[in-house]
Amino acid sequence: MIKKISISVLLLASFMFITTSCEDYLDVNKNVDAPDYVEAYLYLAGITQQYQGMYWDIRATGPLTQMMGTSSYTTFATHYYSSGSDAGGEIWRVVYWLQGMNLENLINQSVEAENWTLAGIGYAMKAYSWDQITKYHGELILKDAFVPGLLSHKYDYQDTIYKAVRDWANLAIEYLSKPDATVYGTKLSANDYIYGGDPEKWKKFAYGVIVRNLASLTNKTDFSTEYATELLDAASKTFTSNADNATVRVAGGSAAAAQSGYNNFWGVSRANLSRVYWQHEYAVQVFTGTVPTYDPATGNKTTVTGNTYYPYQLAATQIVCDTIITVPGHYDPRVAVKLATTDDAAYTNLDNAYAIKKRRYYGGSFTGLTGPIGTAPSYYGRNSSSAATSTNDAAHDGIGRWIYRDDAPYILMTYAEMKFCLSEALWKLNRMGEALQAFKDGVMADLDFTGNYILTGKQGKIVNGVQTTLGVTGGDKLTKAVFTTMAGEYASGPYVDGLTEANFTLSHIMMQKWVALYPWGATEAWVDMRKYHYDIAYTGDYPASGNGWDLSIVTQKWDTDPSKVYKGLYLSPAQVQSRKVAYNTFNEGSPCYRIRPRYNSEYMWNKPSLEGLKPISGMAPNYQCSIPWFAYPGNMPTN
Amino acid sequence: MLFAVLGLMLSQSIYAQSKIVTGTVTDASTGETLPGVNVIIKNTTTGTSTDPFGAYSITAAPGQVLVFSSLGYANYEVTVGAGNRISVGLTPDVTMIEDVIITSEFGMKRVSRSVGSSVQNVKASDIMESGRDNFITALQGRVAGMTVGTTSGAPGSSTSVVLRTVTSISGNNQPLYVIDGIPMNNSTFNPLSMADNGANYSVRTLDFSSRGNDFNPDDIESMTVLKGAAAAALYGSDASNGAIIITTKKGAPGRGKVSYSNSFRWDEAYGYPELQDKYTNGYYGTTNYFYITRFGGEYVPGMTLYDNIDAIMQTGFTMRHNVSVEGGSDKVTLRAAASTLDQQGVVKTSDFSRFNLSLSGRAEVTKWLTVESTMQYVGTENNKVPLGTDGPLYRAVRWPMVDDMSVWLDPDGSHMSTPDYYLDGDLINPLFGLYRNKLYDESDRFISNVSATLVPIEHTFVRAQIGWDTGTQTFIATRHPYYDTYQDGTGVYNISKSNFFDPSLNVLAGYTNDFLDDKLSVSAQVGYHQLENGVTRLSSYGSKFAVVDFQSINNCDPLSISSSQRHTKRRIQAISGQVELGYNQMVYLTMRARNDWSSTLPVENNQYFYPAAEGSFIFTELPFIKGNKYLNYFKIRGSIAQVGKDAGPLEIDPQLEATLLTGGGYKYGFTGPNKNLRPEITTSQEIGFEGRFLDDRITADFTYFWTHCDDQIVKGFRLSYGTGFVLNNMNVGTFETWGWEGLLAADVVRLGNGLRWNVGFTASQTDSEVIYLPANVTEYYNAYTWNSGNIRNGIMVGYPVTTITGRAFLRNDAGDVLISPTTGLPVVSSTWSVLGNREPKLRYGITTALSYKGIRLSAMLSGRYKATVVNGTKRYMMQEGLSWESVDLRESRPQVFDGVLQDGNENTANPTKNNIAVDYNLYSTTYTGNDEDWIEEDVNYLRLQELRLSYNLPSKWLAKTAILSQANVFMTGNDLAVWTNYSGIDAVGNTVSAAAGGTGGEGIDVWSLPNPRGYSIGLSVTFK
Repeated sequence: MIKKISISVLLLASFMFITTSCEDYLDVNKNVDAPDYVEAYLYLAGITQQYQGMYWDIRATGPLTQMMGTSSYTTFATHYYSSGSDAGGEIWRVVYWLQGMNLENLINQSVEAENWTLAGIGYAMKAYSWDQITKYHGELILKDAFVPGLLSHKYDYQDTIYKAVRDWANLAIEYLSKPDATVYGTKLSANDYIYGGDPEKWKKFAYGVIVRNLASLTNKTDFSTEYATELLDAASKTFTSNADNATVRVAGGSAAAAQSGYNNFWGVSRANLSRVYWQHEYAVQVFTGTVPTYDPATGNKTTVTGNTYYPYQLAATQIVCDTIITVPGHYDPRVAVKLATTDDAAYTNLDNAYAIKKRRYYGGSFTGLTGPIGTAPSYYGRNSSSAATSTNDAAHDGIGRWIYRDDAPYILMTYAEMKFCLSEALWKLNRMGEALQAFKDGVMADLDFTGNYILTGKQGKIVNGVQTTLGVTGGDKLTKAVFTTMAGEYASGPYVDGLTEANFTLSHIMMQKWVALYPWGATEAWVDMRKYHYDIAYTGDYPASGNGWDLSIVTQKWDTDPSKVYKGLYLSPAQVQSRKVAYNTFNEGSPCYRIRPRYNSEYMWNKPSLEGLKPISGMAPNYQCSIPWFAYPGNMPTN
Repeated sequence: MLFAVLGLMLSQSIYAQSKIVTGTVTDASTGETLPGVNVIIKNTTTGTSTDPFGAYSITAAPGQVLVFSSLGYANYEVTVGAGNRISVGLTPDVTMIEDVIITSEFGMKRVSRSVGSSVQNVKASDIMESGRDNFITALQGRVAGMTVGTTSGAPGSSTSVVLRTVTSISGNNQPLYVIDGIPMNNSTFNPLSMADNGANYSVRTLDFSSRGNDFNPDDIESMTVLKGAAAAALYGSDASNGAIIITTKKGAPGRGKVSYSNSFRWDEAYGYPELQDKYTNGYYGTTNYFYITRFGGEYVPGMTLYDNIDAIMQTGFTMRHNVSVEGGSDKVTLRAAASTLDQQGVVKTSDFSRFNLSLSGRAEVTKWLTVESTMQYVGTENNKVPLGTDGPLYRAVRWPMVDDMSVWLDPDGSHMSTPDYYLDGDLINPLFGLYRNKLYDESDRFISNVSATLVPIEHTFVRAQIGWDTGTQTFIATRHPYYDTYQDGTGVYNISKSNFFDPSLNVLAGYTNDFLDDKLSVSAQVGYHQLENGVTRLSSYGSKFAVVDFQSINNCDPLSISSSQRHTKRRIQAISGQVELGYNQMVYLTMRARNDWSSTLPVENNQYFYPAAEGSFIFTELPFIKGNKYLNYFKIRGSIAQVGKDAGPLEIDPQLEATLLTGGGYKYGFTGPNKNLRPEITTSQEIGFEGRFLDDRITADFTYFWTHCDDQIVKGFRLSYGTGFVLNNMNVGTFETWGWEGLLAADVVRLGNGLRWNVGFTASQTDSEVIYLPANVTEYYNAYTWNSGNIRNGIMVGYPVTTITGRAFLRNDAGDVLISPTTGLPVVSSTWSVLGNREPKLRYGITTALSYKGIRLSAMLSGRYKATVVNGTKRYMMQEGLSWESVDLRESRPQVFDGVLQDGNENTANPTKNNIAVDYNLYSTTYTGNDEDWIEEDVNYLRLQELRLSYNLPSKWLAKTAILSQANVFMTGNDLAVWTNYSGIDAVGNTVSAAAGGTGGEGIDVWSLPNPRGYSIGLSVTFK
């Protein structure tokens, strides 16, 4: 008996040796292949690079601002939306998910560890992102965001979000101003692809976010009393030169990059600007000083015979430049960089200013490559899709050009933009002299900015004495030197330095800002256009059904109307030639005022919250026409 | 009288010489030990019964007679002699249809009458006779309430088994497989785990074998299917979908036996849809070989048309050989077996081979210590074919009929041939893929267990089991650079090494005794359990082959190579207890409980307790019914059980992923953390009866069950990105299932001359309803079932978990389809609604066997009544003009769709009836039907799964041979015929592999590869 029992015990004991303590045995739910917790700085580069998602959405805002035409995001070009699709929903994905909890972790871990600089950088980026997303979508999930366990997420109204954006920006400034005892080593410098961890520049960035945020409120009735002072204060502390510009550097540079995401979204190798997006005819009009006039009786342009390039009579007053190329200062050289032309396919006249000025630019329509005058080229300057290399050594686009380049940084915010924001605010306050100075600073800054990213292309080979496109490897069709010369002429010409207070209008500020934002800042440009209601004779009402526009046509101010901000801008529909179409009937005649939240997030899984939005329900078929608070002059209707 | 006195005196006088006699009682036919056998000294009241392992111990004197009796077996008498050991083998009572001993958890035996839930035994012979290569598919149709689904008819396909109905929306729904008390790994590798993260393959394009198919069917002694959670409660959460308990052969005592069996099978593909051969490639009635669609003109008479489906097919051939050796004494038995399987599938290049080697045995080390062990090595190799629209069938039907697809290689010996006439380069020759791509897996696996049972003192036992199930697997999936449209791919190479290690441990201690004149039986046990599921996976991906015809990761561009590794471990610790009380073999009550601690849940929530109770009452033990000739046995039973379920490993905190952007670092993936995960709880209840009537000629069994699945951990469900994530793992789903299953079998003919004709019928019906999902989750679905238009396995509140959703036609209030006034075509909704329920109204199986002397003719059919099936195959054929239906439609122009115009009057008293005729050209090119058009309702389906004729050679013939003691020859036909009103390929087609989990893709037929027709012959012999 004793033997039996002892053997039993022994047997049991020998099995039991496998079991250590209960808690240790069960403590195996730990990932050994990848961390589930990392130090805050390891989130930084990823969060920063996610800003490329903003370029995704320019596919919607580019066409909405008439910077771009598209055969892809056509529903946005026609001020509607893509039903059942995530198109136009990238910033939603960026803010809530790709930056999302990564950024929350970065901030919370840094604050806890008293890593003030990193915490400040985190808040500055959070402020920037949320400023962008609310301007784009309007109402957002703010208080319910990132709360664990919630199965439904309520929306907060835009005034609340605007305040939160500035609170975060101010918190960023506070943290960035605190003495930070942390020794970061290369943790910040190596992972911050915007400022290399420089707290002073980040502080300017945070002020810039405040400027940007408040600048969208300039058309609100209480702007001068409520927001102007804060804007002017922030503007005095933000960027002081193009060296302060917020740009995100990338490591890519060609199709050979280790990851496709290392290359710029607009570079050749990612093929996103591959001929389904093109420069809009309105962009060509503004950049080349060829805004036409319309006959108010018919809405038709007046045809000019014998001129194939300018076949229509041009408006007497052009805002950015005019078509005189023989007199210095009338030509804006930014057209040669920001817009594309198929002229000089062999890259022959790279430093011949006259030849450059003579090049012709064509823009497409909203959804078709062919505009009223000619066919829009690709962004790389050819009438074909982008190609990184070509096996037969014919012309190709190489790595692209200007900021449409594999190795170009993403542009987030520029010194020029700050100056235009300041100028507009001063203009509203009727401080014209200061406004004009800020305007001139802004144009000069953008000229400088534009020249900085020129990548001069390579001239084609001469075969048998004939200039060919062989050996052309893409790039810009001018040198930096010739650009600088022309820029200097333009800056001292009649459209910039020569502009006097007497001739200075809001159109100058806003249209030069539009040029400066082209096309990387389309979303901000769209803020301005909506704020000025696309130059529609807007009643100021916020109708519950539709927005007071006629179902078949939107009547816009004529260019001769002094209150018209964007000269030459006509929506489609409008009363002018080739724009006399109608919006989707669900728009009830109204243009688009916001992009709907991401379909597979909100329209699939958060409908009840959308439903309750006021004054137009998020589920309404015209929610895309609901005027956001920033663009609405007075207080929002409460029902 | 004198005799009695003598007996009494004798017993008195012998008392002094009495001794302790011990032994083991086994089933003489199987060698299985039998618990609960009454051992009584004849003509006395002294007696005992065997313990759970068939052992007994009794004090008796030489000359006394021991009577062994047990229900279902003939009584057996032995006179005590000089020895102290008497082991006997009881012969089953031939009139009994059902075994009465079942194997329950941890290899414990229970008397079936005490079990309060539905269990069903499957005999080894049934598995062998099925003609199937793996025991899982062999079960289809044999067990009421069990559905066996195979992903395709290709060799080595994954299988998914559901007992009764699903219990998880997103997780595993398969039962637990248990071998000799130890859980067996039945995982199916998910191609999404490859290093390319599913960029090239997914569960709907590639299917790897389920590990359960590894097991050698020839090693199975018996199987018990425990259907409800109650029956399997002691196994815990893994058995919440029931359990299949396998007992392996361990050799029988007595004379050694050498057996050999084989089978040779020829498979032939059938059941493919007919292709129209009237109209050629083109559009609008104009022949143009630039198009894949066949809306062109008529073929030029005399043109050679090729059967390109035939080009991918071959006659499959399968060969199996089994050898086993067994023998032993009454104390030690041993069995060794080897088995090989070599299979070539009906699709060219597909094959499967398996080698099993096993060694098992049992030893009574001392009177009170028994040790049992089984070890099996399994090696498999499998060359696969891709599935669905990636599969050879779809690609073959799209190949122009005017070209002979079987010439798949370009004369340059490297490129894929392009079809004659067809000028575009976007067609892919599937044969090139079959011969040039590699879709392959291999595994080496050991399944082993050792158990020791001690009887330290009478009526008690201690049993310890330790098991290892461990294997190494390699999965390779490659794509040749030229296997691409325009042959401009760069090559894809995926290799994954996935190893699993599943050790487990059970220690049980129990007490069994009878009281109150043996009327009250008491059995109690407590247990400690521990198990681990470890997975180690290393995956590599590469592309840009340096040499196009060479496939290896080393042949890939180093810059393109990426690797990922993943280790997961799940551990469970548990204690369990059970008390079974029985009275007079008539009333039984069993109370069971288990408490688990799981590593996969947050520490605060990581333990869960679940009780179970079951009872049974055997009417026929009532004195006034007992012995009734017409009602031989009747039992009613009922049970209730709760089972907790844990999460998967690493589901609380998802791993951070490397950002693939400049600067690197880490970021979250799609799925967010959930620090508040709780165990989910399933409550399952059932009542039922079983009975035998008319001299045991009729057997009936019926169960009604219902379950409530609460607080389900639903994986990967979507909410607003406001959560911070795209996908979430949360406790959010609640649903109920209910249904019944029944079995009726009868000996229609049973004659004294041995002629016997038996017919059996099983049937089951289940239904379910989703009770709760978060308000914002309008539908939960598995994206990979979204495979035909917008149809998917949508799960919505108020509907069954097997619901199909899609975009229906818009209708007016009266239910008429709305027709667009501009196009004349039906208007389709932009949102998803319910289109049908994949679960048939009834699933049934019919078995029949006619035996006379050594001849046995048997058949098995399985069927479904009124199922709803998605005909994704025909949809493609309509879109591309491949079917005769598409020909009929283009020829029966013009079409006017039935419905009312969406002109504003649709909901008035006078809606405008549609009168817009749609031209056939328009129909054939722009209208190819919408989701609703491809749902086939009320599909009936009956398949002749098996037809078998076998003959046992008469022993008098064998006696004349010097070597054989038993011999049997047989012919079997598998899947010989299907009767159905379904017009697609396979009404039981499954669009995703078993790795998809959840409610899967059964009933969604998108170019399924149905089971082929198989003819096999074979023999089995036992040597003298």
